[in-house]
Amino acid sequence: MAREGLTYLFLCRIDKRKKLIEKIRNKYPHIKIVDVICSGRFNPAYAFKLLNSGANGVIVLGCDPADCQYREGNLVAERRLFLAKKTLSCFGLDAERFQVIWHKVNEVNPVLSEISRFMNEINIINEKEGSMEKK
Amino acid sequence: MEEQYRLFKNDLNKFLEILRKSYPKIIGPSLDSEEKEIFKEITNVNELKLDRTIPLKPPKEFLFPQSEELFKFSFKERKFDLKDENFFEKQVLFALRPCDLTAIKYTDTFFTSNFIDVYYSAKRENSLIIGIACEYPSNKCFCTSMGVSPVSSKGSDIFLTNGGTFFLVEFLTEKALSMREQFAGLLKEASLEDATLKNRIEKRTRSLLLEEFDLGKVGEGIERIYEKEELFRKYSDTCVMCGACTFDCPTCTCFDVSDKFLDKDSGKRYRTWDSCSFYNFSLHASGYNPRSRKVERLRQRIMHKFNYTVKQFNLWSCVGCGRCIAVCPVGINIKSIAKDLQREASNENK
Amino acid sequence: MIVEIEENVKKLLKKLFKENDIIISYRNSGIPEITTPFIIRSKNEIDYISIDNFCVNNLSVYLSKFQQSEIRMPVNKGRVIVTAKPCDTKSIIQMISDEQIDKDKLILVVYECDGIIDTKRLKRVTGELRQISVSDDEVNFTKLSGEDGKISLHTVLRDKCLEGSCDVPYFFDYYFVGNEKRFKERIKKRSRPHQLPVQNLKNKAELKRIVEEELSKCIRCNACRNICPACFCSERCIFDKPKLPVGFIEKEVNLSENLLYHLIRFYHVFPNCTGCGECERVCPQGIKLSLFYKYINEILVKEFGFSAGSTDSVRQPLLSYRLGEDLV
Repeated sequence: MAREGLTYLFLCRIDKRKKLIEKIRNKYPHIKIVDVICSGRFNPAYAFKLLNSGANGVIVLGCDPADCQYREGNLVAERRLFLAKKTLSCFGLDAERFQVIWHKVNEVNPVLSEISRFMNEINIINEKEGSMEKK
Repeated sequence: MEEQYRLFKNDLNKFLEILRKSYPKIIGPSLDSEEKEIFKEITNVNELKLDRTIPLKPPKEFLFPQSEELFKFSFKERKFDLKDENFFEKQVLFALRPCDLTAIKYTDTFFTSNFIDVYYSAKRENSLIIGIACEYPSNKCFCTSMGVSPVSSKGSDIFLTNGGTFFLVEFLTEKALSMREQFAGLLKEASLEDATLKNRIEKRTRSLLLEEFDLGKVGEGIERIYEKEELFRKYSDTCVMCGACTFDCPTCTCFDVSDKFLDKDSGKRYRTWDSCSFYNFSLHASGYNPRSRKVERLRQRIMHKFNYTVKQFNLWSCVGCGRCIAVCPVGINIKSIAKDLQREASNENK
Repeated sequence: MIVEIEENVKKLLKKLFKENDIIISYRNSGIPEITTPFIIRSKNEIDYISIDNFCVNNLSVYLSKFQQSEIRMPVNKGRVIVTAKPCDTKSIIQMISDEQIDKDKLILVVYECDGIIDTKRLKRVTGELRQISVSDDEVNFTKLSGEDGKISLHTVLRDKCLEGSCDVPYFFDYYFVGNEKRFKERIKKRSRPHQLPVQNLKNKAELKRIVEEELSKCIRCNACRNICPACFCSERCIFDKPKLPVGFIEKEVNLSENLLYHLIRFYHVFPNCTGCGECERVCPQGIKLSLFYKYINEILVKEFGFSAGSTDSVRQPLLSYRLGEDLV
């Protein structure tokens, strides 16, 4: 089925990322931004439910390993999200639609370039799916 | 008036073709890709397998599906609209054994006695039930102990009995008799010796059953057994409350109703199977649960099968098909429970 | 062979049993090929124990805190004595590592079984049975019709027993050894080559088709969840929450909801999964759930060197982290 849903971006420390969020809202109006207080709070079941209901993609943006406000939140998230991606590919779903990126809190442009790379990948996947259906 | 005819097995294909003209969907016992017995739509007579034990999933799913849409609703422009798009195809349930026939009689009573369930009755009116005498019981069957004979035709429209090279065919209800003309060419006269066919088959099938027991006294003493928790604890200790027995039972009819929103102002209401073994089944809105312990839920299930429906409808709601024993993950045997109840009840009566 | 083990186990249990103890073992159910779990609270019931080639259940499911609160009296000072096969002990050790069982109150009696018969495979060969018995490598049976028959044991054992995954467990209180030479011979004769998981062999489209075909059979009966020893949330399960305004999972039974159910349950359970195979055995629809567990267990071994149930002192990988690990 054609994926016309939204893309979801879960990020932490929203108070320090105001500039980044403004730029994302301007450039990609169809990305929905969701605040989780720490990437360790993100439950992969949210990603499963969203992708199952037809979301375009899910990105989790967390802090650099040494940078977490709650000390270990992003460290426990690392293994958890890795295994969530493996779970998706185990069931034959597109694990590429679920992306995790780690950046320092004040970085803006590297994050934007990663997001735009992700959106391009998603477009390619959507086109391939669309053409396969037409066959 | 019952009339008996012979239908030779070579003509079974033509029989099904004639049936298909009035009832496009024919559902009968067959095998799946893993050689397991199931009920499914038959398109070719070679798919029919009548010499195996009973399929694990009961035929109730064709009259009362697992997940069924009731109606759609929408609130557009301050107007409330309901739409009921259900369309029921005519179907034949072919080769149901007497245990399943008795189960359908029970579900008919349940869904139409105090209040007519339109979804069930619409499907039921559009269904033709063809029964068959049972010759291949499993070692878990105990229909005779529940008052069901393996050659009983009660509950069917047309009943078949295997006579070797032919089937003995009986047309039993108005629905069936009105169709009889269409089969005129295929139905041959029955001979005198066919009258004893059913008795011979009943005797043989009864000798194959693993055990038979008498539940006569259970009704009288069962009220007092309610307080004896140890009797039920023996089985509820190992029960994991999974609900598989209720999903595979041909007489279990409990369901739950839910709403689903498809977009902001419209959606649908649907019902799904529910089980009295689940914790949430008896959970009140206040948070109190009168059956919070496993033993209470198992006791409720057994009392419902052997007591409450007898009081309500004068029918056992267990037909002795043995599916619950076959599917139980921990091997709980309802025959043992029934025998324990019987023993306890006859002690009480002394 | 196994008859002696049954007698010795009963002797030991009679010696060990004290007031307030609970024994979890097996007994015959009344159906010839089904042996069912049995919870004993008094000494005279020990005679009804039956240990044979049909003891397929993984008894560790009765040791979780929820089940124990249902089985025992509210204030119980006694111990729990379990008779387990070596493969089941892995689940028990994993539950101890996850702090679901109190190790001090547990007495583990392990016995080397002769292999467990797969009743579905058996039925295909023998048909419906009136009686069955096993001695050494021979299965003698009587059909319902009265006919007798004989087949060899290793043709009807379950796949798990044929793969030779019987390791001596990490810890136990009592261990009943079978005949060692025959045990080793059986393992050698039965070993199957290691099979790669399906996800590595098929392409994406083929895998998706297989998954969709299997999961559309699901009827959401919850048998796999309730029988799983690793699924110990019990009455607090996420799927049992009363319907919220935006529930996590709909009650409707269709492919999309079934997929979501299995995805979430799988994700919650797999670090503790010891591969006991109960979920696949109890499924009324016969869904091949081991497709998923085999793949991810291999990943856990490869990436983290972790194999569930091998020891009770190492916690599962999701409960810890390592600095400098760059996985995703």
